Amino acid sequence: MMSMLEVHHLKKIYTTRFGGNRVQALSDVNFSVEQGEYVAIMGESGSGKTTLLNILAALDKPTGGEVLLNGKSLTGIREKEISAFRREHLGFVFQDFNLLDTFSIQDNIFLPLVLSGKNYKEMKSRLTPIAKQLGIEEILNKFPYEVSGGQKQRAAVARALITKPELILADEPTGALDSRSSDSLLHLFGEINQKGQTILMVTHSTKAASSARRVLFIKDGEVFHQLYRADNTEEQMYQKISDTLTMIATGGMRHE
Amino acid sequence: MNRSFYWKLAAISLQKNGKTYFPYILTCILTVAMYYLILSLAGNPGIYDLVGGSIIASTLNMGCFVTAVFAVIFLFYTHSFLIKQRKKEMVLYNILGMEKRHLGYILACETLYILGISLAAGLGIGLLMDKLLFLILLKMFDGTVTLGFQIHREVLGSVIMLFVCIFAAIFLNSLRQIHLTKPIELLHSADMGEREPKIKWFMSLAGIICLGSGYTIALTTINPMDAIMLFFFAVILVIIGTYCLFVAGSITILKMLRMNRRFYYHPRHFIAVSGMIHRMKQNAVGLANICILSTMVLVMISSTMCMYLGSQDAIRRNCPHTIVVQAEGIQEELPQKMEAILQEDQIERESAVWYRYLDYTAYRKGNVLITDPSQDASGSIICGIIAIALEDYNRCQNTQYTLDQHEVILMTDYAEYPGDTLWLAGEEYKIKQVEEAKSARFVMRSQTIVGGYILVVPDMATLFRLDGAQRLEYGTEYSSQLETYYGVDVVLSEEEQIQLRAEVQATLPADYQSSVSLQFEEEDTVMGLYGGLFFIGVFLSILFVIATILIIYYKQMSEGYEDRQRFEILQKVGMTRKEIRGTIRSQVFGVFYLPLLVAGVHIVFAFPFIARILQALSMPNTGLFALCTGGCFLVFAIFYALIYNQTAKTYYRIVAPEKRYF
Repeated sequence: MMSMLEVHHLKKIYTTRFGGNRVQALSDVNFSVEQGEYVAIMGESGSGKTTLLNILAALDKPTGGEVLLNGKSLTGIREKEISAFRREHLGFVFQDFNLLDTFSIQDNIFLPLVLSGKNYKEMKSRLTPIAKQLGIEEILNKFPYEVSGGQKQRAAVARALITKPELILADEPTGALDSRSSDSLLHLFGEINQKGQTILMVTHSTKAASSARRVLFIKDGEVFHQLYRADNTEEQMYQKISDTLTMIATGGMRHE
Repeated sequence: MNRSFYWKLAAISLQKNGKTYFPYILTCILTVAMYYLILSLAGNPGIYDLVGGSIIASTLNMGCFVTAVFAVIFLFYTHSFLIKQRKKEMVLYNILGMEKRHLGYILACETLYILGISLAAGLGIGLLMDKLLFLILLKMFDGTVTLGFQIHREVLGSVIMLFVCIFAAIFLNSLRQIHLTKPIELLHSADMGEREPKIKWFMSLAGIICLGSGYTIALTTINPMDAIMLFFFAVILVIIGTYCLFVAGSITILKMLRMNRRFYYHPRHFIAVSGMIHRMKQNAVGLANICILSTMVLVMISSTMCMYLGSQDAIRRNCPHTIVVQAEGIQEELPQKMEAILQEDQIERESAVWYRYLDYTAYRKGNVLITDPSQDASGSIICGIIAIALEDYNRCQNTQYTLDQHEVILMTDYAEYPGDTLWLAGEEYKIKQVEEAKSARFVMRSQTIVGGYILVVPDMATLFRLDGAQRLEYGTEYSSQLETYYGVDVVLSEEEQIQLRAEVQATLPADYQSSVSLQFEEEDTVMGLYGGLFFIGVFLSILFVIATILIIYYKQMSEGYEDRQRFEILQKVGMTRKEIRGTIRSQVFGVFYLPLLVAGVHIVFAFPFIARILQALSMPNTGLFALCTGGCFLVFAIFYALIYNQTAKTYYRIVAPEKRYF
């Protein structure tokens, strides 16, 4: 069976403006994500995980290799359609929330739907269950600067979910949150995943990664190792991830 | 702490914040220069030599006042955004151990630096521009301008006074801001978004009322003299109305649009409307300024241009022939006496024109001409009347017209006459025909102040009857008297004409009480006067256009940096570059063309009003004024579009840099 997301030999080289310096961010990345999975990608800063996410999000183009979403190549999409593709198939959760100050929380969540030309009634009917699930019904009419970081991130999750995307891409979603808000957000991700939503999260927080069903480790632009949670508890998973990170840091051997 | 330490710290922080402070200082410098220029113009004694000198002087004083108000509002408002950005830095100093007192010292030093730079550079530029503009415009008007160039010490003094006061106020306000805020709040203030503006019903309503009454005054004031008196009042009402509507009205309208879900949740309107709400909060004052400045430029340049271009009319009315003799009373021998002089000197000439006429003013109420001051003249229009008997008219015009008793021919330049009968001295006359006054070379001196008519009456008896009536009703003090006109075109040099005048004055009997005018002299004065007015118009327009450009540019730039982040987010959420460009364009377009649009509306309403004032300033040619206004608006709009395009380009470059792969 075809995987939902397939990444083959992905390569990304950054060149400075005058072609002087070449920096290899990704050298050869291969992995796949099945429908309904919850995958975390871990790596130290500079390991290329943000580059990877940007390519998956069609925000950046790879130097080589390809990305297939449901068998469709992302690199083959024309520039004109890329935004609509992003809007319809992908949902984003960012570290810094990326909510617009000029919109109320509700309008921020509606934004992708409005851009797709949906009417108010449909948007509202889509929002009601999501808002209930995320516990943000009370703040829908407030503005981003009037609510807490955790609430902002919940709003951002709602904005990602409302388009019913095949894949949610999360970039350090807990990066700007305190530990309580982090916990509740990760719990939420787990719940959403239980309902069948595929999630791909990039993070360097062991805590965040341990909530995923599978963790990929990236080092020097390659997938270095992966861990399955299987029947492990979160605490056991946490320990396993920590061990792997220590091993990567001390330059241990690769094993599978 | 050491005194010089504060100065150094202030200098460093100005340097470090150069990106935000540079445009501000530039604004200050140019505001100083502008205020200096307009004050020095208003203080120019040459103004009083111009036609309607007192009106112009008071207009200019009004201009000074408006510029001063602009300076206060604009600098205060620009600075309020600066201090918001600086607060965090100030708090850092505070947390690192500086007392608020010390922060005050730093702020004071900074303010003094900026004040010093602004005054020095502003006055320098002002002086230079003053001189330069004078030289250029003097050349343009071929030396017919009667204004001189000089530096007034009082002007320098009052410029310095005003700006010291403004800066002191700005300084005190920043002190207040620093004192009111608590460090903790301040540290987080950067995370706080710009609060959403509230609907201000009262202010919106006040704006509508002010604007409405301003427009009503403009439309309902018929009498030119009333128009002059009410002009300033209407202008102030419109200015207040404009500010209120830009500040409150715009937000009220946008919020109401947002409440309309069907309209609001549409890809094209969604981002534009919410963006505009926040944009208007910051830009309303700047946009209102642009709007008022644009209106002023347009009114000034079109009316003065109309006067300049229409000056031939004034010459024709005041002095229709190269040499004109006007004698009091009916002087039947005047033509023979003049012919004798001309023949004796063997002067090359065209055939002469002579006639007897009565030149008086009356109030026209409907189709009744009132000369009785005790009668109720409310709702009437003052007009100048020239009455001529048919025999004189036919002789002058080489026509063979006939008139029955109680029939008149009505000639008019630009004043309109409703109806086909006319009540003169208690009797009704039928208007047999209406003619263009331009076709005839009749002197119409009194009609330079107010519009009016030439009435051709059936015979001399009727003329005497009219004269008797107005004498009786006006009394000796205000009544006019019959006069005799003799005009001829001669081919003589200017010196010879002056000689001829002396000869005529010496030859004609003293009891003629005659006056001799020469057309070339009239032309010199009229062109000089109107040239001077046009000069002021061009001068102030250049000044205001510079101010407008500056505001537009400043706004675009300062917003670019704020908007950048917002548009990055929109791209991430799934908007194409094209869509983003589209929304940027529609927002920027809306915001920057709004003032031009409103200025256009102001002009439309002001048009009849100013046309009446121009009538009072001897320019009754409304057609020409319409042409001037239309032309000026067109040129201004093109100019405005150019500025807009240029700044919009820079804005796009900031907001959405090319070739970023989003």
